[in-house]
Amino acid sequence: MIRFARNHPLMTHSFLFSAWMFILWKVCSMPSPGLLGRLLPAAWAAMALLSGKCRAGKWFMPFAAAFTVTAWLWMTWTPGWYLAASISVAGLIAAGISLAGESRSVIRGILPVLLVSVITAEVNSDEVRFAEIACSSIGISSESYGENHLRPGDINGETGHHTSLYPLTISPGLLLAGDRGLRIVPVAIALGATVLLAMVAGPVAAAVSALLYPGFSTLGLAFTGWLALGLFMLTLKDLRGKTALLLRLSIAFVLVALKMRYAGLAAGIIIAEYVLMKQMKGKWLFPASAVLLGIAVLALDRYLLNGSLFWVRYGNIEALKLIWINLFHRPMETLASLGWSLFDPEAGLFFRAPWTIASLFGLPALWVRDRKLFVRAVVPSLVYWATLVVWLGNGFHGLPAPVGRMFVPMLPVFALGLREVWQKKETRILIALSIAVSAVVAVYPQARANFADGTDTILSLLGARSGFSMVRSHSLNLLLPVAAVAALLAGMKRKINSYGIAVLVVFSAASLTGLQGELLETEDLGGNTIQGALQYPRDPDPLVRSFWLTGREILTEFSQTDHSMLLRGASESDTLFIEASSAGGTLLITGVGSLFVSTELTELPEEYRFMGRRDSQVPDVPQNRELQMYRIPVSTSCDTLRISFAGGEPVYMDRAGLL
Amino acid sequence: MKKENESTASIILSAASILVTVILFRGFSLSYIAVIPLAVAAGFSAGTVLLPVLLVLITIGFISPEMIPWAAIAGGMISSTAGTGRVVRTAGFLSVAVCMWFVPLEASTIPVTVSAAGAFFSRRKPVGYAILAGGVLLAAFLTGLPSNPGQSPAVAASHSENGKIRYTIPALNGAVPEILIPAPLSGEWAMWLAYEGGGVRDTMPLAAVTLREEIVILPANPESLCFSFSPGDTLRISLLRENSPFSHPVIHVSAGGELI
Repeated sequence: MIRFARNHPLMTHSFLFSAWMFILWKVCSMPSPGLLGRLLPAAWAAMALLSGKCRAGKWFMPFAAAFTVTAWLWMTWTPGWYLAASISVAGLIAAGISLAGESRSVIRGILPVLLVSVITAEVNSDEVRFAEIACSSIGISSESYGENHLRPGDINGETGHHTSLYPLTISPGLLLAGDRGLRIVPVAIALGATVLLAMVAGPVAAAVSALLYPGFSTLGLAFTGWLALGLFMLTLKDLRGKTALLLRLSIAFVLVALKMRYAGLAAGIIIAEYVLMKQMKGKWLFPASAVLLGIAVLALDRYLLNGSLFWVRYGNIEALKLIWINLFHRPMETLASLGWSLFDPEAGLFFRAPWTIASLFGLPALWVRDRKLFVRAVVPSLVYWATLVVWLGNGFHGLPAPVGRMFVPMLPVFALGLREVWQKKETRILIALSIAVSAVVAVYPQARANFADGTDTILSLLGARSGFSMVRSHSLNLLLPVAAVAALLAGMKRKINSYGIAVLVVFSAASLTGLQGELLETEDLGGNTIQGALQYPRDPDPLVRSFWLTGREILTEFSQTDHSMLLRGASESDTLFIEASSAGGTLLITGVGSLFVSTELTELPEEYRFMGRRDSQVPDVPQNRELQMYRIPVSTSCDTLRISFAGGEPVYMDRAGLL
Repeated sequence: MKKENESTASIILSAASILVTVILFRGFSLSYIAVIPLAVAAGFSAGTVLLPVLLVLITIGFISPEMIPWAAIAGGMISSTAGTGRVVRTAGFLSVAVCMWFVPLEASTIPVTVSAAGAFFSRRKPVGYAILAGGVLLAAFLTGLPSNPGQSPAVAASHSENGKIRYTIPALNGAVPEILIPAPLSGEWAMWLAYEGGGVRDTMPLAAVTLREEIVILPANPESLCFSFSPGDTLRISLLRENSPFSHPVIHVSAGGELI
């Protein structure tokens, strides 16, 4: 027995920890004893069974101690039990990465966490739509997915903006096991794609790519990202000759058929192929043929298939005009969207996946080591990213579907870069932070989604209300995180004090992320401040606010006399600030007086005329009224002010506070 | 050796400088002092596996300074048992001790005692881990689980439109033992409340629902209540049972109403 334990250290440690976690969960009376209190110990037991003779790293016991302490202290803080549970998942992720490296088997490393992810994540957003399309396409009878429902972005209740390829791909799972089988095929796809990634980047980098964001965002879930990744990985294999060329072109075509959004990735694969072609006579025919083929497909679709393939979904003339507008009418906004796609707390890559910053540092080494692989991985990823932002504009994020899913096809770049910098201590710090993010999401599934409303679900869980956001901040604020990343990368180049630079950057980012502006964002406030008031718009889907002209923040609607807001800590020297818009409504401020709010409609942007709209002014809806800041001196000795609706048109408030 | 000293110093200085920034922007709280010994523990853990754990805890504290005491207690106890070297373990103990001075936790002597035992008696790591595990188990059974008695009740958010109102109410458990549901500013309302309690193995009282002078005691069963709301009323729902080993009391409530 003792010899067995010595020869199987990770197995022994994992089994013991599984038992300890199960017991401690019950002893410390943590919530969810029936689900997470059994699932996580079971995942650790699974890790034990898969670990073979692998070593338990030195990190194991500190993790176990961390879980013990935080489980015991969970009641001392409201989100305490989530954080305690997430520590056990963090250990599972660390064990998985370690196991993948030591055993050279990435599947053994990622399987326990994959199962936790699949079980805890609710089926929502595109997964539901894919299931409905699959059931209706091949006639599967389903209790949950039997009817097609209209979703934002769909053409109508019957014709979605998704193609049928992915739903057909996942349909075998539904056929085999009914509604519960929705994720059978996606799990297989995720495992297969990870194996392909391991063949190119190594098992450790592949495990990191799967278990941390962005890969973790849809690991084992019915989204197209992992299938696209798997197809992209096939193009990175070192194959030569005409067969390889045909394979890559076919994959490019399949990617577009899978989802229109991957057209950038497909174009990048073709561009990379052209760049790597030997110099020869008539080389220019290759890109010319590709362009002509693309035009022929579009024409065929428009004039023979009535646009049912491409035009009806994304290829209508207005969508093409949108690309033109994003490039030439509002280039600074598009550039800002590129920045937010990296740094926004809700939807940005670096916030949820700080390890990708370290992997960027490894790319120059990849260029030196294998230029062909660099071109084949980086060019398509860059073209995909740029196309995503130019085409979708500030809707690049695809929220409220899982955060980070848009970046999954770019994983090969990050995995290949990570392989070059794995041993650097700054990398380990960023990996640790990334593990923490995935671990929190695994136990707090609501954190998978954000609503582009200025509040990240993980930050909200921690009680932080950041003012730094793509919907709340001026884009110039992006210069700060850009400087931080530059400092981090410069620090990685140094050998002296590189630890300190990395730690300073991480702590600075953390403290700035949690900073709130001086005025309160009314939509963030809880029941002890705001009562009765409604959110505008009622639908939290960010797509509803995507094309708003005066800003994309959710507003708080005061439209009935029982809608009120309490501000505490007022003194006679304070000034009350209210930022609001209305067509003519009155607010009553106890002890101070009343405030009549009336603001102008915003001007019609010139892009409207470019789009062919003939209106002379914008529609009179609340989102088209300018927000105005009102300043009211507090001339009362009451230390609590109540602001309530008194009559007239509804008042839409953005921020308020006492200064 | 010189490189290690530089790493240690740079980590401590980074944490200290960011702490100053946090104090400047958010104001001072005595419990923030606990970050300093925790930063010292992190600095002297440079190059070990403890550093990422402590860095994550400190990072959480800087994102949300209200969590600094929690992070300091957790990080301090971990450092005092898992740290390599007396400096790390002592700094961990100090982090816990400083926090306990300012944070009114029930059963607060236990973390200090366990941390001290770990710091001063665990020259061998297995001893430290055993002290920690044993201390937690003993504390849970003998003195109960630490809770925060200074926690104020949560207030349910409400949304009213066209004569109907609905409330968003978080689940009640050991960390959120009390919820207040305030009445709308104006009008008389006919209200309903759906209650579901669980996590216990008996039918003893689990929750108390109080409105004006009336109080209803509920066990762990689904229940629905109807009542009227007038301006100024507040419905209070309180968890009557404390979390104890093998008992996980939890209450889920939803409520709404119509203008009469």
